[in-house]
Amino acid sequence: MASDKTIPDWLLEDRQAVLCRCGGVGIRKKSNHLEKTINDVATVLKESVFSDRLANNRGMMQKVDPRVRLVTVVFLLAITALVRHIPTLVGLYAFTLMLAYFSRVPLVFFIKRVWLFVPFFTGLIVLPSIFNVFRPGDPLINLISFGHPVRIGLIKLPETIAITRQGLTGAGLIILRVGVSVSLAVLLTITSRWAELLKALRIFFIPRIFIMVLEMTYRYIFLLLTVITDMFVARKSRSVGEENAREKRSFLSAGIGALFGKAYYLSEEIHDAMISRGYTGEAKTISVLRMTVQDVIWIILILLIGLFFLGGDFIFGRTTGAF
Amino acid sequence: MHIPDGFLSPQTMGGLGLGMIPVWIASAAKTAKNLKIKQVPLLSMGAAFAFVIMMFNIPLPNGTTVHPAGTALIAIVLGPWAATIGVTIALVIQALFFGDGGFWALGANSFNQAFAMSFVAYYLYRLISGRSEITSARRWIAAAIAAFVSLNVSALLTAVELGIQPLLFHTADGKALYFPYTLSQTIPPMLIAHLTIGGAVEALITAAVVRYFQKANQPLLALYSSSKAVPQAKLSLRKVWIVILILVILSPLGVLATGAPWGEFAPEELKEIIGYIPEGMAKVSAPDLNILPDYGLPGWENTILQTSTGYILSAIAGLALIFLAVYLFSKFQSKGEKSSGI
Repeated sequence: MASDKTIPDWLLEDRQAVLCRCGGVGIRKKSNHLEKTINDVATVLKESVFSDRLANNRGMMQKVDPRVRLVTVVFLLAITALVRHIPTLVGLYAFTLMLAYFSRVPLVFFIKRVWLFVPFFTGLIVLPSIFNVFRPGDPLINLISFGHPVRIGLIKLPETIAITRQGLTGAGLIILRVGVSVSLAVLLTITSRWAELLKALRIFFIPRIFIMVLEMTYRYIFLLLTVITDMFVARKSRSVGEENAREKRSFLSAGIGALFGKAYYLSEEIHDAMISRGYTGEAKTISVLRMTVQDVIWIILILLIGLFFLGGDFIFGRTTGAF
Repeated sequence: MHIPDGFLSPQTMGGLGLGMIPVWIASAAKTAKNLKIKQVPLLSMGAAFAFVIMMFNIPLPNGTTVHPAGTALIAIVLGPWAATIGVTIALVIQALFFGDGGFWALGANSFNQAFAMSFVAYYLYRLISGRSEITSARRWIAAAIAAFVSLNVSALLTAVELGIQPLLFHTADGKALYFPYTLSQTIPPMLIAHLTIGGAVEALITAAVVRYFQKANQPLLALYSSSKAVPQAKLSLRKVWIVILILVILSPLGVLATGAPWGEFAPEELKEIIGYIPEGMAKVSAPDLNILPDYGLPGWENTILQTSTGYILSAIAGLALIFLAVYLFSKFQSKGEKSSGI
């Protein structure tokens, strides 16, 4: 290639323009940090729009009063945290799927959303704990046998490396528990519009001022996200070639600093706007939430189901203790 | 660093959540006093910033990226109280709307990331920067150290909370009920990750932003110190101690409420526990407070296969019953909707 003088040298250099990564060059470069940030922001925006759209489906959960919905999901999360056996958690997950089904949440999406990431994070973290290297226990499958305890520097290995029964069930327990908890949280998120959910928070005796800050924060997150998208797109559209570490650093820190300055300036503006509209430090909210007979039945139903799982778990522990 | 629901026992989450209540109340009172009616927009923007800063991908030499926590920066500019509220609210939004970090774990997450990190960062920054000029190099060096140390304190707290789970909560045969690793297994990886890459990135970015402020936006650096908070520093510190005391009092509650039998630790485990838990506390918890025992009844082991069939059947029946109840409810719901004409 070097002898081919029809192509200028600078085109053959390694420092290529990063404008298009679509070619079949063979070398897949890791994504550029500007692009990554732009994509991350887009994902956040997409997800919140998508979940607001699902929240407008008039399914079962969506029809329940948001306060009741929030409290019952929090109750179910507590049950999930309290139970101690895998079969109970499997049952709870089946119940969560039922709720999702009746709330017109696409089940494939619902399952994928949770199980695509839980095994990666939680699973990877708890993976070592199934071996007796990290937690002692009854061996289930022996992997390597040294015949005597082994020492590698500071690490002390047992005579036989094995997968333990306790490790396996403990790991299963935690993965399932995280999975069920995340599923319940996702279910709440995608069946509620954020405005409803914020209103619902009031029953937790959270001072009104906090709710007001929360509402305003949620509103302005999207503005700031747009600001950084603009910032990063502007940067990306002006950059040719690879930036060096110093350039990246100075852009990022100036970006963060400018964003902070902008946010502060905005807060002043908002304050002035509030004052000019008669704000005196007293927050007033218009509450239109009303409980219905349906909500009461829903509460009783969820309470009974929760107790069913807790009781079942207790009885299970009493009699077997096998899992 | 966001702890999801399911890693921590309800007792730990409850204890930390209760401990955070006085902190939140104190922060609200404090910011209301310092910022007056400006507090709502300022805290909102602080919280929105705390959320959005996590979107910034910082490239690492190996091609991967990490995101900064930003808490130290917010604490340096807005002060520890406002930062505590701002970051808490960012955590609430992440948990409620984006499923990042658990709902019941909010107490624990805000304790580690909002409260501890803000206060450590702020007071360390004040201590090192002292009465130096706004433009002095001491300021950004102080910011770097504050960011580095506060991130590591926060990581250490997270590691300790996770690490005490297997000591407190496991079944008689050693199965971990919550997070499976002990303190000696959680602290080193957490700290290695944060003492090196995480801490370095946080320190670098915080210092660089403070330097940017020194060049481009000096009033922001004088924001909190000018709101006459300096003479009150002593008072605030006392409040911090009160909160820590409350947490210390609350934490044995978590120990007492455990279902794990305390007499059955392996010798190494026992040594480890005595290394970390005061003897008096160990004595208090020594009686077997077994609320939900996991022992099998004697004689039942042989027939597990037989009995488990019964369990599976009754569990399926139970689930079917639940399904029916939920189905009937949804029918009832749509009927009510039709009759009320919505």
